[in-house]
Amino acid sequence: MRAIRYAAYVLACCLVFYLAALAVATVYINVIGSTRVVDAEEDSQAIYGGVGPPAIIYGRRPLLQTGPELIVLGASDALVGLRPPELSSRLGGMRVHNLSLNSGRMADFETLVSLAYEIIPPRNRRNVTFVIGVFYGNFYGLRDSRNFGDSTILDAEAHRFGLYAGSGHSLRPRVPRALLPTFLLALRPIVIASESWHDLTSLYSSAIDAGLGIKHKKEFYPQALQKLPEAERRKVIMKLRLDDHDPNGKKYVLDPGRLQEMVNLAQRISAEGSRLIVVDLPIPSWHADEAPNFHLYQWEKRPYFSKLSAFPHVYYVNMQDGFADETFYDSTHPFPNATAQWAARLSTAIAPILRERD
Amino acid sequence: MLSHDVVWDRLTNVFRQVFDNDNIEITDTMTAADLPEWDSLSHITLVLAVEREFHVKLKAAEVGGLVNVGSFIKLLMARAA
Amino acid sequence: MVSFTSPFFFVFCLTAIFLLRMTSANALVMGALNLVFVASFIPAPLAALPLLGFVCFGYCAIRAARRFQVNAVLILLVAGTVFLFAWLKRYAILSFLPAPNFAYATIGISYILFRILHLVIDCSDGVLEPPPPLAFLNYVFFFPNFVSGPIQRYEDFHAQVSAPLPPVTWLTIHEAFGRLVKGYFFVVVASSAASWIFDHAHSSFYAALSRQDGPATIALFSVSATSYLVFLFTNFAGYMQIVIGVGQLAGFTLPENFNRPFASKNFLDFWARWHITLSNWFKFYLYNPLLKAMASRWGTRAVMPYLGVIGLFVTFLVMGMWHGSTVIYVAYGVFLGVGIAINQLWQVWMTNRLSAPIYHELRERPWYFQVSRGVTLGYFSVAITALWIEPEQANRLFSPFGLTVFATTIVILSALIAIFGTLVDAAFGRMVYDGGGTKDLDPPASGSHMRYLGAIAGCYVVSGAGLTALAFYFTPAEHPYSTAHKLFLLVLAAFTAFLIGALVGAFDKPIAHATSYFGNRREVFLQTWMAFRIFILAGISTIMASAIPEFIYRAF
Repeated sequence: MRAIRYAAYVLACCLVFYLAALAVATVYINVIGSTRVVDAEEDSQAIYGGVGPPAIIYGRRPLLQTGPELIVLGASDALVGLRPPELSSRLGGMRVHNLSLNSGRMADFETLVSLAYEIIPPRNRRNVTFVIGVFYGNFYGLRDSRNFGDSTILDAEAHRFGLYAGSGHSLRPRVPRALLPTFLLALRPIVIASESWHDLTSLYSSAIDAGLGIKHKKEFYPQALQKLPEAERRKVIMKLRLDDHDPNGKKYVLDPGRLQEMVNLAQRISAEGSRLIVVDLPIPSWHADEAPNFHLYQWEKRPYFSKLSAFPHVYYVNMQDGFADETFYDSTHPFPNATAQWAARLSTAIAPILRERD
Repeated sequence: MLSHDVVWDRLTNVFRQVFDNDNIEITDTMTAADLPEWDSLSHITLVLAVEREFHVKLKAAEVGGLVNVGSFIKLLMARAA
Repeated sequence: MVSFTSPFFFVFCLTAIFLLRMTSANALVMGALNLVFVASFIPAPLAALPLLGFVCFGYCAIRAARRFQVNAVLILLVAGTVFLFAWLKRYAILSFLPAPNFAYATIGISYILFRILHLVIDCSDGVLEPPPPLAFLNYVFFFPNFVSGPIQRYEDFHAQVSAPLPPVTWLTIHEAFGRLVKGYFFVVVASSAASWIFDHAHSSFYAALSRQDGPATIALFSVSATSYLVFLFTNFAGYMQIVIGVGQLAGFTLPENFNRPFASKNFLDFWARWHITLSNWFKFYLYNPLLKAMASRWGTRAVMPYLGVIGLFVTFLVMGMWHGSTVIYVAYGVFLGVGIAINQLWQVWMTNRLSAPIYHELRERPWYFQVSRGVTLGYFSVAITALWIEPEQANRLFSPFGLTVFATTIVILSALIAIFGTLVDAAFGRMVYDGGGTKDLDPPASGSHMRYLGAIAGCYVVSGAGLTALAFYFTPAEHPYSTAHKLFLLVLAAFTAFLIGALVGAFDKPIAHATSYFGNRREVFLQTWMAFRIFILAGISTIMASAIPEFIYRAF
């Protein structure tokens, strides 16, 4: 029947168009983008592939390569502070990735490691070094960055195009592992289109809201903060102190169980043959002075972090001192022009570790 | 049963009278779009004049369905006296 | 409520199209399809009883009208039907009467009322014979126009059902698919966008209204009113396109309900372009008879125009009240009636002052058209406030402050729409139509099709980039976009605007004309263009829904 022929022709055309879109997306990502590494941070991925969770879930293909890889994980301080290009240039051009997740906590780190291992070829696992940047906030009693009831934002992103099922530890792809990179490739046009669409609509919505005079909660822009005079900056920074109460008003409590989970993660990574470097990231002194949990953390972590060195290829680096308060724009994040200091300090500390070969 | 030409003649007179214009020439395909004065208001005036002239009573559906002169003529040929 | 983007709707329509085609619209098959469709909206058999009762009453009324072709009986039957309708729809004026105390479905009843009344009146007039029961049920519950029209006359429906269905040509399919793409784009994308803006604007408007903040209230009311107008149009017209497209594939021609209402010359013209089948029905069965009755009694040449005003006012008052059951809809009807009355009176006054030919000439002038259109659309978008405003807020609007806001908004919106319309017409108009903006699209002289196509496409592209540039201007300065990012967004917006143009079919006519050079391959080219449009629509829908069907993964 004519209608069936027409419909079949339409479907065939759609397939051709999609393959064309895929080709365009691949060229776009490989030629225009910095896709040699995975980087979830805003400024380098804004125009394509998405920032944050989309970049982590759908942008993992660079991990397919064999060779030495440095994968940085952590919360937003690791995301903002440990920049792959800066680390890479100080480590002899080594491939450095940053898969950190905003408000990440221990369980998120476990998921991130699993997500990385899903793509890293098994024979390359011994060439991979994980750097997990932590501070006391990652070890709160709250299990993970649960934002939407039972799902973390990572779960929500993984579910978005139906590629994953389950959540948290049980997050697993619906397709066989072997086919996962192919599916990540096939989803590229949709992800790029989707992220571009969100980019465009968020531009319009913020313009409309501004035009209508709707004021949102004051968002924070580090570039704007640098332009303020010192006293103003101080005021803003004081307002941005890390909140140690949850949305219901309950005080956050440091949980030794989380520290044990770090030890378990170390064991797991070590068993895979990879290296792990746990890094204590700095916070400004005024924050440290006002946060009892910070001091509690220094005490509580000792028995656990001392167990770390029991595992082969697991190391600990303490980066908590030596950074001036002025380099932070709030309670945990460094200014963009200060991240080089973090990179310098870290690379100096870990270069000898990386030079070791078993 | 009236003939087309008789109806056409009398209808032309009705149109000229209603629209106050002795130069109007009606054709079968003529619609309200062709005559600027023929709007929904003058349509009713026209219908009333047609009813008087041809001694017919037009029903609601018929009045609404008279979209061009041809439909007038057809209806009147069948119904008129 | 079954959504027309749900799998059920797709599967149902596909099945219906095939079954109707294969069985040549067999009455029983159609009856079964209609039953399934209607039942999908009704949660329990009990809930369907009042609706069925109404339809049965209607059928008895039709038979009775044919039997006793007397005016008194007709009036009784019409009154009874309307009364039953108002009682089932819980009209506020009948609230003193007890209503059935279980939840029942009234979906589609507003349109079923028209179908029944049309049959009752025409059978009483002797113009129609009462249809047999199955034909009647199929007409009343015909699934394409069950939910919200279009209102099709029984003669038209019956003629199409009893004749063999028109054959399926590739042109039919192409046109039907074009409508479906356009309809779905309107419903899924455009009306969602308008609805989003409306949601943000109207809650801020309520806040400003309670604060009595003059400028903000006016601004937000304007935005709410226009965004709601756009939402209403894209939602309604989009659904109509879908329904007509499905009908076309199944072999039925349903009447159009919209004819470029944003190109209306004035309020009277607007109602020949917006919800056309509704205004036609009211013209047939309320305006014409009413005016005829008045004119035959008092119809002198001098008085006639004023009788017209009365007729229009009454018709639009009733039309407004049909839209809903509360007093707000009475206000809506009054507002519409006043508007149309003013329009008609203005025309009478201008004709008297200027003489008919000069007045007609004035109306053809572009500036007159722009102002007239601006006032029409401005007035209408404020009028439809009745369709969205909450009752408590409506009370606030009736204060002196609120009424000032109301009046000022009409003036401001009219002016803004006139200016905006002038700009859009200036950009598109020279290429799309010449003169007063109400003529249909005319193809340009042969040989310049590509330039013509390029010009229209160019307009869309420039609009997209322009809107984005405007958005950059409004964006808070604390979140700067890098130059590369800005450039990317401009290109993306321009491309998206182009795609939107493709989806709404803006390039269809120029492409159809231009491909006349392709000879035999024209069909293939047009099919490929249609496939492209469907692909884009599918892509946009996937992105908006953020979903990919699971069966794609299950295959592995």
